[in-house]
Formats: sequence, C-alpha cells, structure tokens
Amino acid sequence: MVQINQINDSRIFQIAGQSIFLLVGILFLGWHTELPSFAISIFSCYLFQSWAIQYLGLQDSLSLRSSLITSLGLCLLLRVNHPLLMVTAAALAIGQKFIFRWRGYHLWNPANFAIAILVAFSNEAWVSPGQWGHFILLPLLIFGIGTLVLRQAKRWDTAWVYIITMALLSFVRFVYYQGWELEVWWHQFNQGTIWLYALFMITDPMTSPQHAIARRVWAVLLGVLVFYVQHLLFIPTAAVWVLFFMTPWVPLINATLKSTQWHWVSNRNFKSNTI
Amino acid sequence: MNGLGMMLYCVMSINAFGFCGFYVAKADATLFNNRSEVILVRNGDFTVITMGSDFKGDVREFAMVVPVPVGLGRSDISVVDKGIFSRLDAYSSPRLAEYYDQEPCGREMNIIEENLDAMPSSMRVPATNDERLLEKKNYGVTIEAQYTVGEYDILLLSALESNGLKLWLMDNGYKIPAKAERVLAPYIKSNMKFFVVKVNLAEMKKGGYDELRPIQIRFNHPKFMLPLRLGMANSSGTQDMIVYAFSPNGRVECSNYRNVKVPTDRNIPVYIKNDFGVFYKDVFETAWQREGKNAVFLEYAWNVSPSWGGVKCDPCVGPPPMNYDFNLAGVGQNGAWSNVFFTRMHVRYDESHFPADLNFLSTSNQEQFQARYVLQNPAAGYGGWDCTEGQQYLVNLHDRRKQEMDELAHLTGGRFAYRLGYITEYDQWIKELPMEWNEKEKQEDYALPTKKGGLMPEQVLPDVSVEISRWTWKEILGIAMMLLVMVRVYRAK
Repeated sequence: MVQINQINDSRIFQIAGQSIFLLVGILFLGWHTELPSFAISIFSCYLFQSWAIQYLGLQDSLSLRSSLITSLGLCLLLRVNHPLLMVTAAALAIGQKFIFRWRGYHLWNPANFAIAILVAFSNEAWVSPGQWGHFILLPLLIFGIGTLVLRQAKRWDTAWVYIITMALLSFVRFVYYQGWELEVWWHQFNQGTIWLYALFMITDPMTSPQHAIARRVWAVLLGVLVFYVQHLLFIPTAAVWVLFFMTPWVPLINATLKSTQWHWVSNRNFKSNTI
Repeated sequence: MNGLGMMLYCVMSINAFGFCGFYVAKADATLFNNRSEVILVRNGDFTVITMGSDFKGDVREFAMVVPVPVGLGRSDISVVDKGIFSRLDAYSSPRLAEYYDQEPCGREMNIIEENLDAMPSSMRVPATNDERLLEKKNYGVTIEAQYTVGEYDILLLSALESNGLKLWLMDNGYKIPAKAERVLAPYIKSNMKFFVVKVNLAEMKKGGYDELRPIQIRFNHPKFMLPLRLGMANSSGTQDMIVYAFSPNGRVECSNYRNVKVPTDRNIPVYIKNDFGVFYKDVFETAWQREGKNAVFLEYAWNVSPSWGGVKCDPCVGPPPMNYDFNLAGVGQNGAWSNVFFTRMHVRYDESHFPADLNFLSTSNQEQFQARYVLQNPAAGYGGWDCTEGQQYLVNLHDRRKQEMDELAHLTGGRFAYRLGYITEYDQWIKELPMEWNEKEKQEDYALPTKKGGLMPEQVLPDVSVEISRWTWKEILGIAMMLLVMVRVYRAK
C-alpha cells in the first residue's frame, strides 16, 4: 500500500538502494555468515529509535525509516567480531542523534559516528574497504545512481562533485604525475566503498550544508581531504575519519548561509521530522 | 654484457615504497618464477618484510632490485634462516583430515584422525650476479649506501628518473625488459630508493651456504603494501604469491582487492588422499577463476599468541610458530606484543587482473580460519554387513559418496579425475538395492564428468555462492528478522 507520503519520502528510495547493495553482498559476496549481525543491527536500531521517540513523546513514527537507513549503513560498512557488538553500534548511532544536536541539526551521520567510535576505541570492529571487489560494481552503480536520481533529495550534486573531485585528484597524482597506467586510476574508482560513501553517506541531507553552492564546495573539500588522508597519509579507511571530523561544522555553515531547513517528507509539514 | 635476462618478480612493496624485487639473471635465463613467498609483520607503522626467493640457477647470475620507501641503514637489513618459510608454510597450508567410520556390525568405535601435510611450498633460492660496483655518471643515479649483509652485497640507490636508472642498470650488467622503464617511473616519482642485491661469492663460501637465504628489511612507514606491478614487467603469465602476515590486532587483509576465503570443511572422496596436492591446486584454480581472477584468497587465519590458551590449529599439519619463529620473522622488534595474529593469503596475479599494487590493512578481525578438507574412510567390515545397521550403513555410504563426488565436481570444476565405481564400491554387499536408485540413475555413469556435474574448466561460471542449503538457522533467522523490521518500518504512519 503505497501512500502519498511514501512516494514523497526520499528515505524509501535510500532504503531500497542500500538494501540492494546489502542483498548483493549476501548473495554474491558470501556475506550470509554476517546475517546475524545484520539482523541485530537492524532490530536494535529500530528498537532504540522507537524508545527514543516514545520517551521524548514525539509523534513521528516515520523517523523509524531514518533508523533503518542508519542500520543498513552499519550493515554495509561495519564488521564486528561478535554480532552483539552491533547493539553497541546501534546505541551509539541512534543515541548520538538525540544527544548531540544543534539548532535541529545532527552533528554526525549516525552510522558514521558509530563506525568511527567503534573502530577507534574497540579492538573488535573494523571496516573492510576491499570487500566489494570489482566485477560486481557496475550493476551496483546502476542501482545506486538510480536510487539517487529517484531520491528527490536534491542531493545528487554532492555525490557527483565528490566523485569528480576524487577522480581528478587521483588522475593528476597517479596518471599524470607518477605515470601509472589508466587502469590504476580506474581501479581506484572501481571500489564499492568509495561509491557507497559518495551515494549514501556524504549525501546525507541532515549532515550536509543546505545552501546549494556551499554544499558543492563542501563536497570538493571532502574529496580533497579523503584523497589526502587515503593516498598521502596512507590510511585506507580515510572516508570514515574525514566525515567524522567534518560534519560537526555543517550546522555552523547552515547558520551562516541561510537556506530552508531540510525536511525528509516533502509537501507535508511534520512537526519533528528532522530526526 | 651479453644478454642479461631479467626475471622480474615482485616480492613486495610499497608505492612510495616498493618492494618489488626483480630477480635479475644473466644469459636470458628462461627461469620461471611463478611463486614467491613473503612474510609481513606490521605493528602501527612499523613493518618488517622478509622476502623468500625462488631463484633456481647459478647464484653468480642473480641480482635483485628492490624499491624501498625510505633509506635503510645497515641495521635495517638482515638475512634470516630460510627455514622460517617452510615452517610457516607447513603450519598453515591447506589440510586434509581423515576419519574412520565406526563398524556398523558389532565392533567398537575406532576413530582415528590423521593429519596429512598438504603441500609444503618449496622455498626459493635467490641467486646472484657478478661484482661490479658502478660509479656515478650522468644517470642521475646516486649510490647512497653500500653494505655487505651475510652473503649479499647491497647497494642503496636513488634515481632521478626512470631512464637514468634503466641505463645505469643496463650499463652495469643487467638486462632490463623493455617494459621495465615504464614500471620503474611511478616508483621513482614516489621518492623510493632502490636497493640492488647481489651475491658476494666469497662471503657465501665462507658462510658455507649452499642456497641463498631470505633477506629481511624493516622500517617505519605508514604505507602497507606490496608492489606487484614491478614484477609483472617481464611476465605475461600468472604468478602466485603466498603472504604470511603477523599483526597484533587480528587478520591482515587486502584493502583494494576483494578478500575471499578458499572453500573449507568439505567432505571429499577418500581416493584423493594421495593426490591432495594436485587436488588443492585444482580447488584453488577453480576458486580463482570463479571469483573473477582478481581476488586475494585467505588460506589461514589464527591467533598464534604463545600466551593464548586456545588450540592453535585443528588439525595441525605443522607445529605452530613459536618465539623462535616470531623473532626470525620480526614480531616484537618494536616492543612486546600482547597478541600475535597470523594470516596466510594466496594471491594469483597477472597484469590484466591486478592493475594496482596490493594495499594491506591490519584489521581487528579475529575470526579463525583454515582450509580443511575431510576424508571419511568407510568401516572395514570386520563384523560383516549383514546386520540391519550394516545394510543401512551401506545405503548411507552410497549416498554419502555421491555427495562427495558432487562436492569434488563443484570444488575442482571438473578438473580433478573422477573414479568410476567409487560410489558403488560397497554396493555388492547390499542385499536389496533401494528401488529409487534404479529409477534415478545408473551409478556407473554418475561419476563421468562429461555426463553429470563435471564442468569443463573454461566453463566455470562465477560462483553465485548462494548455496542456501549451507546457511545455518541463525542466518535464516537473521533474514526473517530483517524482513520483519523492514515491513514494519515501511508501513509506519
């Protein structure tokens, strides 16, 4: 039963896109052994979000969709030694949304926050940038881009500016300066994790600038930083850290450059749909 | 210098830091190294790399050029006993476990487990080249340092551009493949030094070594990678590399190629016992092909900390590495490690499928893994087969062996030889054959690869490793739970 608000809610498209990525992982990349931790992630994010909105007395059960997006992000990126650690991840991700807010904006993308904290401070969690391989990527991209276009979130510019920045930098450094073949350059982009970040993490409307020009400058800045950390400081998980340290500045940018605040559901005026 | 053949073969390395070794041989040698071994030790930014060499030829004709990320002092280079490679290999190679069925008719349980060593890899012997120290000309090549370490003479070079380095190498007696210049350039641009290793015959004689020993280097640098590309410059075919990695956190994995586990815990026909090496080669080849020829395969991962109480392997095909081996490999050289995690990776690479060097990442993944295959020997039939249990046992045995043959076909893509009559070997003692057998198939035909289950090697399709039948109840429950939440969220108002 598709209702008007479901069509208008871009989260539905994001959920679909992430689910397709996850399904590909489960069916083709042998991730089925991770299913218990996926289930725990999804279930506990759902639970924490329900508790939080109940406790705060918010009439916004549609925000459960946001928690589903968060949990899918955890499934796609975070790897843990024990499935139950996903409960901690979910608590960090959902909890931080309600605790750290500034003028209605999140300071961090929930999934990225949980990933950064767990990878940095526990010896039981990690990110696996090489998990996607290459042959599988094309269909994923088609779905991913399709999702973006369908998203109506008007955030596709962030993704493309980011990708183009990375592509240019990488071309200049590896092909033009160092003299590697074009294949090396292509190989850099043919990596699922980069696209996953571009399509689903840095485009998060809650943690990217509202102002159109600022948003594009923002994407360039992220691209430059991720490239620098990844290829000059040699940290393969660069995107996680760069995003973690950069998103807290977004509310400040938003406060400085006036623009309308983001609402998930278009054409409807929910009281609190920024959760 | 009449034709100096160059066997390029990458040991390892790093972009700004490339450890790709070329083995440079005189006389256009038709040497073919298609397998190399490397030990990586990584703790923070501290890295120790030990390169096993497979040079098989006259040591006077050998030289190795290894790009390194930073200048190395005399104390950063050492030569280690090559036994370390065979011990690590023996400990971590794919294994065969053998079990015996219980006698169905009136004899007590008799289970023996036997571990068969799989395929110890043969060590490689680096070789050498004759002495010729070269003065600096207009090559833009500087000799930054010069050491004799063990039986090796080592020069540390820095170069300004690839053509100069190429000319320097050529003028000093190394024949460089045409493509080498193109491959050298990116490493020079990344500010790498090159170290040229030759054998010092006098030292070798003095030391009484009959083979070249592995060279070990250590340095502090954030980059954690192996420069495969250098090794591909003169080889069009595939090369194999076994990487043994030690890290204090958990598994070491490749960060820019997919990491895949080789198939494990499979029951296979007992006649494979004596050909396990050939069998595993076929298994690897099939898996490599199925995964698109561009994956890094995990063959072993285990916590080998001496203080850790768990079993170190199951079954063990070789003794687990102990302090002596850790010291040799370089574990703990930058301070004591509370934990030692060991990973064995197998990479089969070629130019078209591995366009970029291998980058590694030390993760916290502590899941243990071993490539293990199981032989289940039938009961000897000392008590006969006539009891009811005996008859049932034989019927089950028939079915089990059918599954084993299917598994064999799947694992090896039809590469490994089938044995006719394996499934029906014990059928003669079955008094009454189950009806459905006759209806379904002729058992003799079943095992023919061309008739059922056997794929021609080139037809092996990418493995849609769905194999839901292998999923555990936890995994199925997981899917159900995920779907439930998704539906609820979708319907939320």
